[in-house]
Amino acid sequence: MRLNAKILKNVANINQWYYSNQATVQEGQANEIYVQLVDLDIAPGLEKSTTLPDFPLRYISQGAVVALAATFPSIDDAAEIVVSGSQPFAGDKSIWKFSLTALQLPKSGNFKLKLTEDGIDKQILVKNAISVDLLSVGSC
Amino acid sequence: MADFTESKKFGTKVYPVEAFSTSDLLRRTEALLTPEILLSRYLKVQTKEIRDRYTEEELKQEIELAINEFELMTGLVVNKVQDMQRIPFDRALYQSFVYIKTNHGPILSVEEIQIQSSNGENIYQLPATWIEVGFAHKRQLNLIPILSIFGAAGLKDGQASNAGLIFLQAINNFSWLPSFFTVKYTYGLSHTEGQLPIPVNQIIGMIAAINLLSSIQTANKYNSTSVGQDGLSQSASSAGPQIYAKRIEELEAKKLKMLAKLKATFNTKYFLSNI
Repeated sequence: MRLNAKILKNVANINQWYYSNQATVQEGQANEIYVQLVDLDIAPGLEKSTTLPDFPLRYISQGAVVALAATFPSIDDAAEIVVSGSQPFAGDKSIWKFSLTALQLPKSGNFKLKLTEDGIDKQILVKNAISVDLLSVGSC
Repeated sequence: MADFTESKKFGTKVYPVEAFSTSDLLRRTEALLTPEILLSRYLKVQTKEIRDRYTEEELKQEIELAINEFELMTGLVVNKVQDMQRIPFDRALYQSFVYIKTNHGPILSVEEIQIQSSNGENIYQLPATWIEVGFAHKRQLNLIPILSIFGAAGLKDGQASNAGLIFLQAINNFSWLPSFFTVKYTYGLSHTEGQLPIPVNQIIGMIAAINLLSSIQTANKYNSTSVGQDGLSQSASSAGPQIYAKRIEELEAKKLKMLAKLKATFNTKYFLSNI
């Protein structure tokens, strides 16, 4: 089992959402990031790649106590952000939501997920999954 | 990960080089390249062919490979990295206000300069106020003591300050001493992690586009095909597996020009000696 996560956008309910390559985060406002946990080893449809499939099977944890935390990394310890996820839909427990306040601005790039199932941790690295739109773009 | 609570910076931006303040009327920086932007900027005509063969995750992987290739080719890093580098004591450079040239750059901040023994023991930590970072974008640091010249005032005691005196006395007798200073510094192409100068994203995009075009053109196997029946015939010819050779050549030439300019911006070529 190779757990990973797909980014979702325009999430309205369990039947209406779209896959996205990146979650776009806008500086200066609160942001929400939706992900769907997936198992990269199971791809039910025809796929162009078995290693990195486009549409792997969703993963719904069977644990009694389940938690998902996202870590948005930074080289600076003080700038690293850790956010706990929630499951917004009882009908599809593979979908998780992370709410970021206006002050919690992640960095563009990878982020990490820690899935805890009945006390057992599983680590996930979601690659190039955050794209941050900054307001200050004249220099860096 | 690193602690930046004690960090010395000059206050200028990495890009545009030495810029102190800019408006947001023109965008010069952006987030890391995404598959959509890669296709839109460089592969608009070939988008369908590429999407037919590559998954979105594979395109992300191509971008990741291109970034790593860029870092290897230029010696620059896309996101901040903190280095800890041993610098030898060189009398000639020491007398030039402890001229230090780091292996990597552009330097964003200096976290500490210590005099360390070979077993990593901190003899003295030099005060951040002495560190001159005005040429940090060219990987150059100097120590300019604004207190008494290299006296005890301003020095922070290390773990073994008394034993360390021998270490400092030793510099009178040597013209060169390996691994005398230890510099901990952070370098990268942006003060804001995840943001890049647009030209850097352009080069990364060109590397990825060249790799993708090179791969998909091999699917165009035949230079010419013809079919005929009962006196009727039709033929077609193309460049075959070289179909995107011209486009690759153009991207390659532009990439090399931009790489040369970028390297010239952040590196200085000169020779250092301890004669």
